[in-house]
Amino acid sequence: MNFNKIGNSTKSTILALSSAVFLTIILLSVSSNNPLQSISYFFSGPFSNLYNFGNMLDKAGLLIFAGLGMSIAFRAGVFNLGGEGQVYAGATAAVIISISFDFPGKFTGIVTVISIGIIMGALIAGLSGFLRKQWDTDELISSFLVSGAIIHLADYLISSPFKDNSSFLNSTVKIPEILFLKQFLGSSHLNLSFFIAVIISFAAFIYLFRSTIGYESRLSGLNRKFADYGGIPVKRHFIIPMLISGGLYGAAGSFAVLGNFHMGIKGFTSGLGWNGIAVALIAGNNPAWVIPSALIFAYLDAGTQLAMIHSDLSFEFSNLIKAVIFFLITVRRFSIKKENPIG
Amino acid sequence: MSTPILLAALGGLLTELSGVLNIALEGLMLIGAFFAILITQLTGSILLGCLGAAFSSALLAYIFGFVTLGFKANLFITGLGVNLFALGFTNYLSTIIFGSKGVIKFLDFPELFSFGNNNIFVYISLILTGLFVFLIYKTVFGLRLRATGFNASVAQIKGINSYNIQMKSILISGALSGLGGAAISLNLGAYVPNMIAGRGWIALVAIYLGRKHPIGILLTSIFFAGAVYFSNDAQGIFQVPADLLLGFPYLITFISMVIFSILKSKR
Repeated sequence: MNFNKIGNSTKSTILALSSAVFLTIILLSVSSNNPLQSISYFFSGPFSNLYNFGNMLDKAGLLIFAGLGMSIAFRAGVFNLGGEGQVYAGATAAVIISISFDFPGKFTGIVTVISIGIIMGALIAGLSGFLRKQWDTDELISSFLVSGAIIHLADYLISSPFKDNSSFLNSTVKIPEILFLKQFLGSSHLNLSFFIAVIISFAAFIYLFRSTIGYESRLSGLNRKFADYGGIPVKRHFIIPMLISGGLYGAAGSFAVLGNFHMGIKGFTSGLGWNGIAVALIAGNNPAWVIPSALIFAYLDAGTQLAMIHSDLSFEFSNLIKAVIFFLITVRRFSIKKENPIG
Repeated sequence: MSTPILLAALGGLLTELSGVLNIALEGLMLIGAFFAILITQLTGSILLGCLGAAFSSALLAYIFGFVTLGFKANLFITGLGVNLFALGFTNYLSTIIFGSKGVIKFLDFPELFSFGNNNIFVYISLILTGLFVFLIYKTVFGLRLRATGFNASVAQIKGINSYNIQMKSILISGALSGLGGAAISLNLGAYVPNMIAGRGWIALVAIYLGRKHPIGILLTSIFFAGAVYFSNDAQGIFQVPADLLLGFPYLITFISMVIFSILKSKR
């Protein structure tokens, strides 16, 4: 059984996750006035009431979208580093469309807005994919650069033309109620998007592992030259995975707006792009494992947030935790071997 | 000016030549920027601040190289990890030491030594550029470096210790990126969260646009810096909003990258 270049190694995943938990415990112990309380908030906080639990699931739903997109991209050997921009662009587009037009029906309205978000994300990512296909422009860097520029563009749009001047937040006006996705678990943000995410993950699995095109994608990712000689149209598999991962990122952004935020706030989706990469890696780039991976990640994230809120801690250590995960999760050899050059 | 980009890019050039695509430049620069301010403030000496910056970034780079090369982790993911770590770590230290996540600025902060219009970093980077031309093309180390980059496995068989070469190049790129970050923060006399603002990535692109040659990188860095300056001026002339302005460096770099690829493929 072949694994792709990024690979799927359970040992490293366990190592990464347990190190992340370990590090969190250490950081909480060191920085909090009441370590035991902080740690207990970290572990049990997300389950302590419906609000926390629902919010955790909601976040997990968004992470599922992001993680599925990245899994598909990684399997095709394509690096979409523009997730941050794609999510933010999809979300901002969703907000702008929502507040600018009148929507007669709930269903048509929601479908339209989500579609716009997906298209936005897909186009942005697809651009990098196209550039790679056409002129061999490294998609890793190009997607990141485009994302960087787009983020500032979206920042501008939310802070200026579409800003709600009566609000003290850097935000737009609320989107029309007709477009809200119903929240159904207490006062948490949990809504339909979580279930849609679950369904999409099945679709993603079928795409990747049970369809011809998914097979071609995976083979291109494993060894592009070999796939090419085998007759697979590899050029296509630069663009398609980017479109899909960008689209899923855009979907995540749109769902965040319709189900969670109900408006545009400057920087409201930040982190989701990188988290999507983390979720995909934890899942071994396999859609079948993205749901548990997203849940685990959402749990860690929620736990640290709650621990921080309840302990009066003032710094963000989510980036440190993510860094640890990123460092350890792609480790493939567990003893030091000094003859391991790259190339 | 173009100096931070140049410094980081030169370091990145070494790793690139040895076969390692160094995505972590941005994070390494940030660490350097922070420690430069921190140590200069503690010791009152710019020199120590610079050394501290270079050292701390090199340390982080060492971990990066160690995990990637020794434990066979994926280069891009660990590079991203470095960037995230830099963000988180500077945030953490900033809060713990200074009690603030915001701009860190001190009164009575030492001034950067300047000669004419250019500060000392500019001269250092120019000297380094020349030095690198010599190093890469006229020394044994440079030869081994390029051999490793060309095909590390073959080089290995032929007796070159590729692991060592790649580690060394990563360490040097760490030190130089740290210096580049120091150039940014010491020039300003303050530390601003995420003050690198994409310049690490621009340095990466500069390596390619400069055709992987120190002189090329020098020219490209100057070009990028000029473009950013121009867009800053444009804010005054065309009343461009601040947010959009922040996106300009990315846009310019991106367009340059695309044009370069198109030209390259037509060759």
